[in-house]
Amino acid sequence: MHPQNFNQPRTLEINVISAENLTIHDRPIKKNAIAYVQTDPSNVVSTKIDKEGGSFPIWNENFDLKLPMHVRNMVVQVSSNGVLIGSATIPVSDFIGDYTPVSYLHFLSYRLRDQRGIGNGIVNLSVRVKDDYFM
Amino acid sequence: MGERRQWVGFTVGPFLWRRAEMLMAGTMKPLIIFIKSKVINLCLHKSSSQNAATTLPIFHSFQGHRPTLTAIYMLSLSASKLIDLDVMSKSDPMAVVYMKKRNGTLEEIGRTEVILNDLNPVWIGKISVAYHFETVQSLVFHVFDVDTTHHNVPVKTIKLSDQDFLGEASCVLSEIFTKRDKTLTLKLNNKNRKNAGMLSVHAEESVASRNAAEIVFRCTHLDNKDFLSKSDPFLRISRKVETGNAVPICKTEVVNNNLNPIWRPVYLNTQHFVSKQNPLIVECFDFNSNGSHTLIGKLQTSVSALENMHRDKTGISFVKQHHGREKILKGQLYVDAFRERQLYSFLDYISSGFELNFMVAVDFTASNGNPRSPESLHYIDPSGRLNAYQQAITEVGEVIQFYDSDRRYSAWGFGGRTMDGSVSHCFNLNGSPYHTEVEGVEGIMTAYNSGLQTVALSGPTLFGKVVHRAAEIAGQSLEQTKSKYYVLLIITDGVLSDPQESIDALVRASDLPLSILIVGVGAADFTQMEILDADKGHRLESSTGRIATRDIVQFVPMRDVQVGQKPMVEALLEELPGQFLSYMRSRDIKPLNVNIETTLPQVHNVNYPV
Repeated sequence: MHPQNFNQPRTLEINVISAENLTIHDRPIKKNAIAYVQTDPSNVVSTKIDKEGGSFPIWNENFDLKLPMHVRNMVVQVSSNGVLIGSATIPVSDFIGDYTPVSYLHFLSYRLRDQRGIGNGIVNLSVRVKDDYFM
Repeated sequence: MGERRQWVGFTVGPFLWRRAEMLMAGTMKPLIIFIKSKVINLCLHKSSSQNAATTLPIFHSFQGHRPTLTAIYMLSLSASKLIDLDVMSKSDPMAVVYMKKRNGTLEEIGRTEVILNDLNPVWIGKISVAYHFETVQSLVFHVFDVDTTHHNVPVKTIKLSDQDFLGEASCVLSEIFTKRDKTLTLKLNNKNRKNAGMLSVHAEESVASRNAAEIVFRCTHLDNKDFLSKSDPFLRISRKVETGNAVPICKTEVVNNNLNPIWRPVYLNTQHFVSKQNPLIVECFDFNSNGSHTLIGKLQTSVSALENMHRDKTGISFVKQHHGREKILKGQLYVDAFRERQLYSFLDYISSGFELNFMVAVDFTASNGNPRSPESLHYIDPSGRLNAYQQAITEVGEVIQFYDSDRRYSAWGFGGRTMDGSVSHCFNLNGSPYHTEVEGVEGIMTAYNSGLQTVALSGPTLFGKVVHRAAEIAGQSLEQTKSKYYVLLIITDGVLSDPQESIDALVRASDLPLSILIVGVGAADFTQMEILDADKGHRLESSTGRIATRDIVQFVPMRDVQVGQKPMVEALLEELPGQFLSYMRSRDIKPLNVNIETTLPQVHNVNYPV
């Protein structure tokens, strides 16, 4: 993997797996957690609402998401009943341009932070760069 | 793993758990218990600090898998071209298997039957041996020609000193597993004869130990035990043994502040529950960070009963002793999922061709003391006594070399001023600008010695570069193969100058086929180092908010276990098979050549990959 590959559009295969310990003002959320993943404002996917998992939702949903050229960060947001719990910024360099093979399945976890920067849980996802671009 | 992908890897206080099981199951000899008591103490400390588990309860812990790591193996023996000592007929051979102890003495672990008149015997009797990854288990085989007067007596009573010695051979148990067909052929030695024949040893896992039941438990209406919030429940499952005692076999993670919890799947291994009808005790506790958990309630069931509960979607009530009689509680246990599945053991991977690749990094910071002074941790004693670094390299290398077929290891130093005058945080120990690899454990020792001659001790102590380099090698290997797993041993005397730098590198590496073993030598305060070891419950978090996906670090201070001599390496390596499995299982990587087997619905009579 070479750095110039940053500047090519590609497709990401994303599995939004789960979140842990979701809280709002230090209180565990009751239900209805939903996660959004976006690479830029026109490329956004969202999970279904998890009604049962409470503050430990499991979505396990797969998406294909375009990663436009020059995008350096992907953003994950988790909210419940319209209230933002927290978001995480994922540098593209966490799964492109490191030393792994191009289409390596990356398991990634991030701390979710609200607008004040307070940690409100953890989100788990897997990301794989589709290698169809190279075929 | 089916419809729910698990986020695998973190274990909490697992060591104590397994030891306790083994102690109770009586599989460990009292002597060994004594030696290991030091390690157990260490781990009591570990498990008591597991309060962090409450902050990440959903993280799946591998408690239920642990049994597969100390599997029982059956050795079958055969020999060819044995010496003929009988005048009128051929020799009547019997084989005896010994385990070589640390002090060199032999302990008999079993013997075969006597086969009459045969120089190429294939013995039927199997010898069972418990496999421990973290120790070098040296086996010695003696073959005897049994005198005719002993032919109709039980083999156990045969006095070996009265028999004619045909030959002996030795090997290390793990050598057998690294052979594809799990068969190792050894040359028999006999002082008096040139050709004493050959001995073949075949190992196989005792049947069905791969089968496990994957169960998802749920509870409703548990009693509240906490004053201001709700209970933090977890389950512990134990098997009732003949004596009436219960042997804990697995437990769930803690779910915080919840009276209707659902836990991550637990795996009950056949080796542990033995039969589906065997009574099991399920206890539900309220987690307390001080370690004295409050019993919410308990109940008795069995694996087949749990299966039925799942099918009928029924629950059973917990009970509790109340003023001397049993009180039925409102709280109930349900089984949300019940599946039988096969769990591949560490050895299934190893014997199918997976390898552990060993890498070493040595601390060259000035705090070690001038290598020419006998007080220095780097002092090379002319008498040949190993210094702490040499000791750690040989002890860990000794175990790992059997899992690495080419025996070429990367060896680095960090925190030293190299020939070009600059401080490097990752330089090749052998002094070569290009080649990091050295040949064998001896190669590491030679490179280490030459490194001490050419590199001046300096500082600061930073692991990031070394971890990064190891991760790079592990990552690049994935282009070629999925069957390599890397183990980096870092030996250090000191406190990290910038822990966050190391943590950032470790978090990035947590997604790769890599484990990191850290040995602390000398008298420094290593409390800070324990932060890196996620046993303590904290998942490592990088400065950018990325969190380690699994626990890849194991830290052991050398001094803590020095009294018992042996256990340092055991404490260090004992989580390695689990870490290896957490990587392979999370990616659904199976042992080579077994894809067809897994689709078979039936789980008995598994054929071994050849």
